[in-house]
Amino acid sequence: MTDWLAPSLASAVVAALLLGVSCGLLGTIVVVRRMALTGDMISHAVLPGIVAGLAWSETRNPLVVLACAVAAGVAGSAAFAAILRHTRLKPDAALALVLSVFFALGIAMISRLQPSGVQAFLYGQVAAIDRNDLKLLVSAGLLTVVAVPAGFHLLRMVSFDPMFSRITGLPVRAVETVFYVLLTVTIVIAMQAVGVVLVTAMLVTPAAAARYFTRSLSMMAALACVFGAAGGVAGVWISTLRDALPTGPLMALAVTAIFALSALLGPRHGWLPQVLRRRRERTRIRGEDILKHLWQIEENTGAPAERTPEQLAGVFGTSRRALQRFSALGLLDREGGLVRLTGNGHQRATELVRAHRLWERYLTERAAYKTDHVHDTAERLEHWIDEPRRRLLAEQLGQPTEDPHGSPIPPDETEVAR
Amino acid sequence: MDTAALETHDLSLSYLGKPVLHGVDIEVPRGSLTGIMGPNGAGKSTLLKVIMGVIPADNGWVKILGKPLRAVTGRVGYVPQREAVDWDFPVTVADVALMGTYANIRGWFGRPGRAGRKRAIEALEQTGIRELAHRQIGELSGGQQQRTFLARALAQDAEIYLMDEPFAGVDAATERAIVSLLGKMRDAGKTVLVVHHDLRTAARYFDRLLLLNGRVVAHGPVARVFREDILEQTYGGRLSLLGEIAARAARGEGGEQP
Repeated sequence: MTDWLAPSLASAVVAALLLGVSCGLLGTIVVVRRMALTGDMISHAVLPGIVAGLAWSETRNPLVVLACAVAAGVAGSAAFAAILRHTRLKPDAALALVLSVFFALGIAMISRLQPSGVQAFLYGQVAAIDRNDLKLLVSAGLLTVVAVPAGFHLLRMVSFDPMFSRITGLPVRAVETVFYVLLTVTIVIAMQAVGVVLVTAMLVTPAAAARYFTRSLSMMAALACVFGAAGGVAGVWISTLRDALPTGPLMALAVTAIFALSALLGPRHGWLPQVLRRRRERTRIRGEDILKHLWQIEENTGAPAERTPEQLAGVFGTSRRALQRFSALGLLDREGGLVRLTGNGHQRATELVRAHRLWERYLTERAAYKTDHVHDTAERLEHWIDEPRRRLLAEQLGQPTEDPHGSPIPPDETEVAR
Repeated sequence: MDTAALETHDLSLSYLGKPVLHGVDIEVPRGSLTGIMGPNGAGKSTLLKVIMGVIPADNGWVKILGKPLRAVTGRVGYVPQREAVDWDFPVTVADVALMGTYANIRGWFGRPGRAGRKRAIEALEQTGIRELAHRQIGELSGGQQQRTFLARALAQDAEIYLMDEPFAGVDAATERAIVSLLGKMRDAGKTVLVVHHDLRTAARYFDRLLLLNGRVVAHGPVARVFREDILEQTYGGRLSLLGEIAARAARGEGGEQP
């Protein structure tokens, strides 16, 4: 435990926290603007600047390095914009072009100038972050944490609808410049922790995970910060457990694990909630089919119908879950091993039959379906036609009393009661 | 007489070597409701974007309320084409309506004020979607989506409105609601230009029509312009020589060497 208090470890944890938060904030904007590859382009484009800065400042002044890196990143973004404007290349090709050319230039400069400390940017070394780096990291992190929420409205509007922003007279270009500079600074700093290739993971993954929980941009940004910080700190912590565990890749893996969990369990489009929802719907439909089955036996025989679960299984397949749920809901009665409709079950079945027959009538009358084509679709859709829509169908069809096959359409029971 | 709400002079534009607009000269009076019609590729949306200064014209100028566009920012309202919107973007109906008031935001730390919020809510009421305020825009029906962007335009409280196919993909009730809203806007003195596709409703919905097919085929009051021969000219194929020669000039090739 005392390891946590060691100065190098403490600075690594602070670095990871700040990185996670800045990457989460900016990554959210990056993800909703669908510009993840632009982030990747910037992380490669800054390399010539970093090399120049390291070669130029012999004391390895982080501010000089950062300034050179941002200049190179801005040059990369400008080159990208110029290619889009003046050639017919599409954005993906333009990004690939800028990324590889700038990176090639950076690598060539490394060979020629052989600056010290460049390894940290290529592969990332949290442990190598010293007091100077940390000071810069803290200031840049604070800048992002203040600037992004403050300009949130502008950033959101310009990202969502740049054309409308321009028409409204917003300073679109200034907003974009601020955003790109903040993004580039964050990327350069993140590179020191995770290296050039994994920056995109820190930027994109927490925000992508946050999308599984919310549809609000501000909430998404907040969650992305939490995920980024948690992943970052987890990466640092895991790397202390064994020797020769690299921190940067572990951070990237940790945020990816958070993403995987979110994709699995997230309430919005996550895998498990969807599976459960679908299963619940299947059970409901099975139960409703059983209600209707019993109702129709009663319609044909004129007497209350009882069936054993086995008889029902013969028609519908094993329906244990549907029987359980519908008895619990008070729609079916299972006393004495026989399944029969309760009063409420009878009413629900009547509604289903009414929906089914109204729909058949609607299809033949209004959509020119042939009479022998309507049963299957009505069988499927009857489960989705609710009370207001049944009423609307009946109204539009002039309160019909028979379906196209001549069977009676049961009247609306709430109306009968009135 | 008052200066026109919108005046364009000799607007021409080529895109990727293809001429899109030829010498568009129009003058739209204030407080009028104009339908912009023409076949696919006639340059209708492009004309709106050139008017708003989003796409620079190769030639010609635009004046709005007698002034260059720069002098009247914030007084032009816009409803984009449905395809131009990222429906997946995490914003709510209320967020979008509020964006109509952002012209008043000052500086990086500025945020929408109480007056803006009030205007956005009123706009949502006018378009009949106040109860949907907290829905994400992708969860709406086509009609509701169109109403959302109409509400944003209303919240702008502009003087001249440009709308790109507001009737595309909407239900009958929404279409009626939009038509009545457009009438009210005109009666309140606003100038409205609407890109429209349906010839059957054009004469009923608008006071004036601008028939476009790369060039202005006709422009004026419905009674004068909505005629079979003019429609035939608009929709019955482009002037092939006009397009061909302008395309050569745009590509900068195919001329005779002396």
